[in-house]
Amino acid sequence: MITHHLGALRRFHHLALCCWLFLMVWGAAGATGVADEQAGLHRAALVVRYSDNNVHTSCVSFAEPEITGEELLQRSGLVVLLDFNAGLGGAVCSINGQGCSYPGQDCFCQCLGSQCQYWAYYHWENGAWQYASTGASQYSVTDGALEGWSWGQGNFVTGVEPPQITFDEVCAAASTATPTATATATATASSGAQVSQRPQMTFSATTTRVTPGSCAVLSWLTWDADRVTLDGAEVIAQDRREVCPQATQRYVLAAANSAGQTVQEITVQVVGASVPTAGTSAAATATPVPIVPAPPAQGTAAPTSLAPVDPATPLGFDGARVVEMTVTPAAQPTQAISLPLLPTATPHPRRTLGADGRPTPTPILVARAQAGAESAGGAAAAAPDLAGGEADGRGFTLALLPGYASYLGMVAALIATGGWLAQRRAKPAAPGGRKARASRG
Amino acid sequence: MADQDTFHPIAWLTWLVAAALPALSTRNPLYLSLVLLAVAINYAALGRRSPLARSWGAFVRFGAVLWLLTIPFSALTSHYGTLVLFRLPRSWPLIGGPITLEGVLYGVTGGLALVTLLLIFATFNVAVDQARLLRMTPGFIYQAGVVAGIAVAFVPQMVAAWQAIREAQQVRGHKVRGLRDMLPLIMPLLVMALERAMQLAESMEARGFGGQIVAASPRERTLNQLALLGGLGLAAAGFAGNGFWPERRLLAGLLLGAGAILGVWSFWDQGRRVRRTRYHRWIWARADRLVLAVSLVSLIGWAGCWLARSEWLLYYPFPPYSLWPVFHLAPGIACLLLVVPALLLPGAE
Repeated sequence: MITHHLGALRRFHHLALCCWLFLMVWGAAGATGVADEQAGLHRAALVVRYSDNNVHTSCVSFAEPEITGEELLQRSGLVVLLDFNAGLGGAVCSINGQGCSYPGQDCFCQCLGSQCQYWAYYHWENGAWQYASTGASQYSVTDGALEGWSWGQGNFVTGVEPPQITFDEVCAAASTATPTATATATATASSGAQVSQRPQMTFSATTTRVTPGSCAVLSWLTWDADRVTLDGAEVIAQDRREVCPQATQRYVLAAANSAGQTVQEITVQVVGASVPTAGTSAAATATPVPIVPAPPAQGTAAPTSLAPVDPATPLGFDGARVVEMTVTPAAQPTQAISLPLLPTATPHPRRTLGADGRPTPTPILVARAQAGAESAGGAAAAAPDLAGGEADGRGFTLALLPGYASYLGMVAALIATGGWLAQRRAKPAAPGGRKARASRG
Repeated sequence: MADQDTFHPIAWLTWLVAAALPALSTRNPLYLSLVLLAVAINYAALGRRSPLARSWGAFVRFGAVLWLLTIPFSALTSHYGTLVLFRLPRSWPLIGGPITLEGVLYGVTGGLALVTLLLIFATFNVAVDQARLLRMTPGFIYQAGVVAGIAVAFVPQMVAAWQAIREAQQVRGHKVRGLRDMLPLIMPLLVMALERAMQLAESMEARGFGGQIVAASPRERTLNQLALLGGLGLAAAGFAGNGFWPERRLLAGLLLGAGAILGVWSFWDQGRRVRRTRYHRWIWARADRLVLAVSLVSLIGWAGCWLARSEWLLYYPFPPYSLWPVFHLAPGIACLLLVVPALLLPGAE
């Protein structure tokens, strides 16, 4: 009897200890979060470096005191594939199409064997990039943080770090909460204007006349664009693309925002190798589209009706969600002013872009995630119903119905089989069947 | 012939591979539920054929509990997705943040795959005795086969013994209140395990498992040992070379291949001296061949879909993929064919 009481007491003791430990952990973790609960809007900067040294930066604002690195990626509007198989949060498999298309491929599909390329995760700490020691879902991002993702050979010794950039450069508009000193060339002449201007862009090609089999490189840089398309296909706001046309081809770059759209086009003429100096008439045959005779490399920045893009309908990114790239409204006039000052495309001084031995062939500045819309969108994206899911192609479609009907048929057949077998077993075993089988053996 | 109340072990082995492949290669709940249903019908049709088979019931229950555990685990740790059910305070370590429908679904499908796999192996073990499997192992790995056979039988035997002891102690009025009360249960379990091992060793000795090896000459023995050592060394060098000098892939491959050949030759040479006779040969009846053929068709059909149209089988609820699984007829039929052994079993004819 006494031992029984003691046992109960001991068990209660254990329970109390567990509760106490839990409260300790909770309190310790909670103490950091509660302090700046009332601080209002927070911002964090995100720098993503692709394998061709293209860089995407975005400034994400959030109402919570802290979010995880994973949520920062998610809210930046990039198309991110995550693998949750390992438990305790996700591993980043792909960002905006670079990486491994999980689950079709392994999440670390380019990290098999001694060659290992993956999305390495960095934090900006004490003026330098630090290779992250925890996963993105365990790391908490607070106001003023700068986070980096870099695709490449990866360990923290040989991996290519994201470019050296400061929080203020990414979140250029009206920064109030960053004590970080910056010495960059970007002037900030902000005003609270709405996006009243169409997107601006530069669109150029290394050459507009190629021989069959040779290639030209198109490169573009856009400002203030919500969505950029090249020949109708979604592209990121700043990129380069090698084209090797067989026949004369026209390439149309369209950038759209709420104020309208800007379209530029470049025609790459294919001239025969035997005709070294073909005139404009040489390209008149075998063209897929009617071409404007020999437009200049720098197209005219006038809105045309060549490639109508409706801003309301998101274009598919390989059947996936659309890359939303929006611009902080306050930053818009700045960019508009600074655009003519950037003829050869280096918005930031070379020194800040990287170490001396690491050239950055293309400029930084791609797109800035809109601060206001994201914070409002945090709530909007937080709880869409199933109807909201339909909008981005993840919801139920009628094309699934025949498959589901056949599935139900198969399940019904299996259940009927199981019921029939159970009935057979319930009856006394038919002697005939057993004998027939035994005689065969 | 009481022995042939089930199918040939090779036929069951093919069925095992055909059933395990879908469970391992997809998380699509529609295909998984079809496989689960088909396997469950087999499991029920086989019945509880022996005390050993009965202990697999505990395994299946364990799988079901595991399934119930994976759902909250996945939901609480993967705070990703757009369909937020509710939010936990962010300050809670690990589990704080939005709890999404995607996370719940991922847990459901992951647990479903786990349960399906467990039920497949339970069915296979009920259908095929370890002794019969052991008889199928080729000569040169017979030692490994013996060890594996004992190891595979260990846990089910343990569970069966545990159930018997608990029953016996309950009859005596024993109740489990704390850790100390487990002693009357654990002691007999240990004694029984030792006794069983001794019994197994004696019975194997009596059946001549120890005395059928033709003694090797000293020269042969050293040659075998040298070959095994050399093979292991070459394989280790190949592995190291593959890691440290990735540009010399051909050399590393050659080293690995040579090591493997030496090792396999050593085992084969040792196995040549093992003489085994069959007391009772298994006869391939019509039903055995039918099960083999149907399993092969299912296996090939699924593997073909997997290799050619992998997007038919994929399911991943997190964005940007769809929440709704797709279903196609061909992989579905491959799953459906797994029910055939239950239809051909003697009791059901």
